[in-house]
Amino acid sequence: MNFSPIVLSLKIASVATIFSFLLGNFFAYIINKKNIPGKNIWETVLIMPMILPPSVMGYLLLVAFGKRGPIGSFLLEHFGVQVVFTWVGAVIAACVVSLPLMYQNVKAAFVSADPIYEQAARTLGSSEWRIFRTVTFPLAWPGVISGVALAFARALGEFGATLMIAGNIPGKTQTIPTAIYFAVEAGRTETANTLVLIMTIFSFALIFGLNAWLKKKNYYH
Amino acid sequence: MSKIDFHIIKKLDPFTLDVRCGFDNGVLVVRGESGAGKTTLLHCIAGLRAPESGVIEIDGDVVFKRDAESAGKAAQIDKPARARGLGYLFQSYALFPNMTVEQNVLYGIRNKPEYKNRALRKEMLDYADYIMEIFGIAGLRKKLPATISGGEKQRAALSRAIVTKPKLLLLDEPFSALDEETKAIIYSEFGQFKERFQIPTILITHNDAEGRMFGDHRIHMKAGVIV
Repeated sequence: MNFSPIVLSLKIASVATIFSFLLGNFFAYIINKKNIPGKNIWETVLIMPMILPPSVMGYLLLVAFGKRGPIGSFLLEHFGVQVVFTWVGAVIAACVVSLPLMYQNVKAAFVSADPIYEQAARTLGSSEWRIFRTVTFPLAWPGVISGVALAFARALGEFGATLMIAGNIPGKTQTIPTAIYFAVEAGRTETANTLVLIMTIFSFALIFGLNAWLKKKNYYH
Repeated sequence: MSKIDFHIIKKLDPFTLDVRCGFDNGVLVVRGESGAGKTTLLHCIAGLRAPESGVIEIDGDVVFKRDAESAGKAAQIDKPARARGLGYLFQSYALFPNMTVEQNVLYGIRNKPEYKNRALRKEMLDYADYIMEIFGIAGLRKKLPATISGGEKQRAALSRAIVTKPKLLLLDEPFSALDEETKAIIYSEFGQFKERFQIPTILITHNDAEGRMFGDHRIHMKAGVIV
């Protein structure tokens, strides 16, 4: 049994979730708490990856991050970073598809929080940054954790876009979902079964644990 | 002797709030039915909402000023809520649910630049201890707001509002969420508090008895204006 798809999947999903977390919080905050121009357009673009077919996402990423693509050529020229057919490409694909889930959860948490707490903090002399750190974010925390868990699960399960931008290079870009696909195609049923079992158990444990934690974590009761 | 003066004009639906008032020390009671614009008035004074025009002066400090001709344009003076140095007690108390009673009470003190100075910090924390002691919440320090009673929440929120030594205290229906039995106790405590601290206060209520009990000055609002 080759464990590299598992290790690589965890690495890719973890890095993608970190970026997704930072971007999701940033966009949820500025789109829903600040009056930025064109907020509906920003929001639509952020959520699009959730409904676009993964192959379309993969193709768009390939065009943007390819050697001759606008972002790919910039990264290669200035930082010497190649995206296509590397694990970095897989991270970008996983990040883009997990971002909508992160954004939606964090947004719901920010919007549902009663603004009276922020108002109270303002009357108590707090700066906006301290309000965010001590009031807005801690109260949104359960929603943020849901976002992290779901984004991680989504990043771990990403297949279509990853295959298009990162390919299926064993030990380099082969993740659990791509390994399953190619194992089935090659008739290696045992490998496929093991990986499917791992994914299923992991996803079940994650959602079960998350729900149990969220039920406990309620400040208001 | 502090002097509070304000003239606030703000368009609301379906009327325009237009209130001019001033008072020296003591408690100004603002009575009126729900929807008369009382809370909006407090929000404007606190800096949580901006009037279309008007002027707000607290103890010689103009915290807001916008001439009628400048309505819709930037205000000449508009200090943010955090810089107005006021204490605000919300109707629902608005205790931060993620913080203990003590963390709530100390929240405003920790925002002050003096808090960084060791000697001054000690003084401020001692004062907070004293406030929590006289409000009878010292034993609740480590409790979360969800686990204490309505009366205790009210005392904690009032402690939080006055521990920063505000120039003006704004109380938005502070007794309305209490049951009758607790209300009687809190009324008597509030009477003592008023005498002891002598903080200029605007108290909003729709209860005439409260107005008579605590008001040194009284106004009655209806559809955004004093009647």
